[in-house]
Amino acid sequence: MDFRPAHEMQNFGVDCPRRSLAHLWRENTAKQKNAPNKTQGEERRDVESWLAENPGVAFKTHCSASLAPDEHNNNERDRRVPDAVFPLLPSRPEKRVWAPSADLLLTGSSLLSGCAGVQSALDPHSEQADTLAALFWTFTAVLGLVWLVTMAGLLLALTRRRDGRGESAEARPAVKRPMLIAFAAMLASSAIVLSGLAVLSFGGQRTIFGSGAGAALTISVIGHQWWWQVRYEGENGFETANEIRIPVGSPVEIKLTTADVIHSFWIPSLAGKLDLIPGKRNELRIEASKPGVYRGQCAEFCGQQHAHMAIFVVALEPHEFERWRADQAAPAKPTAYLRKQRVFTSALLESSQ
Amino acid sequence: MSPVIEERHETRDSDLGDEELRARLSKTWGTTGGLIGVLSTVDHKVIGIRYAVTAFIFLLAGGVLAIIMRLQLARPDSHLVGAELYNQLFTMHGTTMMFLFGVPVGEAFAIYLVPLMVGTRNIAFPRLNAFSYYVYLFGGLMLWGGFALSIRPDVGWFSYVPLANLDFTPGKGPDYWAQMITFTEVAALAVSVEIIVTVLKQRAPGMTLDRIPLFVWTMLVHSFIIIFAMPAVMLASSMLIMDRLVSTQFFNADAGGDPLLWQHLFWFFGHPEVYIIFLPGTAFVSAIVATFSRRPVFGYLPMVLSLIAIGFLSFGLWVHHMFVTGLPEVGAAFFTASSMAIAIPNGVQIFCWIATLWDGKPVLKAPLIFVLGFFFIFVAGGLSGVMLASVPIDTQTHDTYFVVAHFHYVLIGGTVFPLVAAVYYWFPKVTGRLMDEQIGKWQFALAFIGFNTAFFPMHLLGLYGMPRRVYTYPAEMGWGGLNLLASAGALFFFASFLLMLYNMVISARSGPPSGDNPWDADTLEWATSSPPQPQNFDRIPFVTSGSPLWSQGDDTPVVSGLKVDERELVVTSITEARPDIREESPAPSIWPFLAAFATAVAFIGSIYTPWAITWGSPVVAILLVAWFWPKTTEENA
Repeated sequence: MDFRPAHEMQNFGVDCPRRSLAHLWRENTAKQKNAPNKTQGEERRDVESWLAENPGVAFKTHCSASLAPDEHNNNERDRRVPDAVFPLLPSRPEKRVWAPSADLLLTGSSLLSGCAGVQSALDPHSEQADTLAALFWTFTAVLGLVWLVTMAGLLLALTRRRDGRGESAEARPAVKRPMLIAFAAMLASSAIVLSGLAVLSFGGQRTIFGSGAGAALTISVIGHQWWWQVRYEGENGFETANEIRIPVGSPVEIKLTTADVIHSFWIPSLAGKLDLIPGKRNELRIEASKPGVYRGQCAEFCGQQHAHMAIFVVALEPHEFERWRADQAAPAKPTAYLRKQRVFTSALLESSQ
Repeated sequence: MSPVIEERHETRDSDLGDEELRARLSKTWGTTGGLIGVLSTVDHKVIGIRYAVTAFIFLLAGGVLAIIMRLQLARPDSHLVGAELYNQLFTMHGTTMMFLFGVPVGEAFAIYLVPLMVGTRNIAFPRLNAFSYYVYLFGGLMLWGGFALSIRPDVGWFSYVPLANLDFTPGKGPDYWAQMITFTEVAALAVSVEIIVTVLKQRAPGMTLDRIPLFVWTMLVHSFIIIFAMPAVMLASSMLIMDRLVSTQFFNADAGGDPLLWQHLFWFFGHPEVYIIFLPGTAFVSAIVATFSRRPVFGYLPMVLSLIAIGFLSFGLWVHHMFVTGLPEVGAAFFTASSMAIAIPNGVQIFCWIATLWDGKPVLKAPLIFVLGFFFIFVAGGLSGVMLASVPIDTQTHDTYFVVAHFHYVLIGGTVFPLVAAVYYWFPKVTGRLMDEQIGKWQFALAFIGFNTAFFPMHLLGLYGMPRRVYTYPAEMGWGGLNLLASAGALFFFASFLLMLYNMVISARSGPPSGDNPWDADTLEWATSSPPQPQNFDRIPFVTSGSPLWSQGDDTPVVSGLKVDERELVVTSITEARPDIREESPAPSIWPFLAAFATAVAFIGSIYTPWAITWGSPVVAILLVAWFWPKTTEENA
């Protein structure tokens, strides 16, 4: 097999975005400007300028991280993100927890997709998502083997050499002993394989639901058609929309409720999804292991614009996060943008009078 | 007519020679012409074909919707159809495929084939059978008529509340959807009752429980699943309509209701529904594998036990559709175990079929080729189902394209490929002509490649984070390439059905005559002429083996003593199939059609006013009285 170097892969697909996440996020930010219930303490800036002011954020797309093992690719990335951030980017992608074959598979499939992982379950950036991805690959390997064995059996059944029996039907063919042994073996092995997988699954369930440690931060996420209201609880609480900023390395408790219909909160790189259901409060724990921007999207059909109900989780270094949080909690200062809006609003009022 | 009046009731089949018996029976059991005659028929074969044709039309309609969706998704940020229309399209696609194609098409084959396979002259409760068809037809017409008139449900085939509540979806769409459920479920329940009674009480003498063809066993289990599963969804959809029409608050959390109640009721039906759709597929596979391997399916007893196990287990899995609603950990784990457990009886079935092919001498005709496609696709879909059974994995894959890929592998691989095989296999039974083999092989190539190209990439899309039911996606997500590939595959897959349609049309006109038993198969439906006479069998066969046509040869013993000029059946005992009594089978009647029509009017009216039920019920009751009005014939001897 002739595998192309990974950095060539990256440029292969027509869809592989130049600015991918940055672009999406900017769109998101723009959308928030129109979002209802916008709270006072909020400030909105373009992602580039924000990044420039917050050099601690290692802004990168997961796509480039997984597929860019060499200098050449870092140059690629150079063009994508502001200079101020570049020196802080990790120069080499870190080792994955799962098997190297998984890497190959991901790379191979990237041939088709152009770019994997803007919000990918196969691109984990937290312990929880790591566990889920590892479990997924284990299941895939075991069940893929089962599929291969079954297909091999079928192929052999069709092609094996037969004695000179004619085509006439046999109403009562003798039941052969080897076939009975094969049957027993099949029954036993499938029971063993399934039990093994079930035990692995229970183990995985323990890991993702079982963490009882106190969370450093509690955030309420309230689903609306079709946006996310984010409320930082506690003293000096504040609200944002469609964006959650969290500190890297500490568990964050997310309380999920909905204001209207059922939604589902899903940031694949950080955790599995959990529904937001009327009359019920679900709790999800996320913890990013690295700084970065992680996209998510409502995963339960929630009406007309379900497709556009995206959310971004920005994981910041703890001190950056604290600075941002303090900014948010402080009384609102009129920014250039807000001033402009005020002028615009008064112009509207005047014209309507 | 030669027989005198007094003798009419006396003529028995033993009194007549073969030619005259056939002519007389065919007159007794035949369907009269004219519009009234067509609407009055109670012949299970005629109704079975109507069911099948209607279901195929809905399959094509659902397929067209799928193609429009695939064209929309082929490119990112596409504006081919807007959000509103797209949501209507996937709702109608799912609803049509599940309720108007998936369930009825299995019933169609059961209605046509089960009475033939058990060696009887008509299905049990034939008028109910006619009624069920019209109810199904009216339900489908209502949903699609509403669609044409822009009354379009757009909240998914699962209609989750509160999205489907009046507050969030004010139009009449969800009401049409919910009422359509009532229609198709009434039809499905009726058919299930008929199949169960036919199988248990009308088997040919000598067809003991262990000589019932696996096809018939499968349809029996299938019918029991319907009877236990469907009431849940009828209840749920009625509660939804009541919430919407008369402000009951079953699903309103603010008023003490519970949106999760809907999900429990819906999936308590919804998961068995998967098996309701899939089991007919296994029935086809069992029949075809046996015929083309030239021997009965290996392991009759394990096969039957697996079917029954699937029937029971299918009711213990529904919560795996709700793993991300925030369930208690242990509760969810239970459903992981039960969902994985059902892989065992399914594995037993797969093993037995492959063992049959191994031991036998497979003849690679079109039906068997499609069955081989079934193995390839269905096994993959079943195994990805094991992944979804795991709670942790499901939290990542739930409601993504991974699930879309999974259930299309299971349902298309498990049902549609065997269904196409079944069409090729039983087409000569129905028409007396063979379908074109060569076109069949081209169709397979197109379907197999098209299907895998369309649906395999969806696994990857799901893992790369693409949720279901999104009408578009930004180019930056990088999903464009795989989606384009999937759309291209979908076009090929759709084309394969057009090719089949073409093959069916030309073969029905000018295909080579098949003879009565073109595949040298072993089950009783091939013991009669192709196409069968209205009476199915001139003389009811007496069964002495599980493969009667292979072990008994031409000199099959027969049962004699049935009246010729009246519709008479042999009723046998449940386990041993000993002849019990002769029972009269109902004659054609227009009342079932009228009753179905009145029921449809009442149901549709109830979407607009609850009073429609009040006014409609007496009308339906009067029609039912007319339907059941006792005839002045003398009691059977």
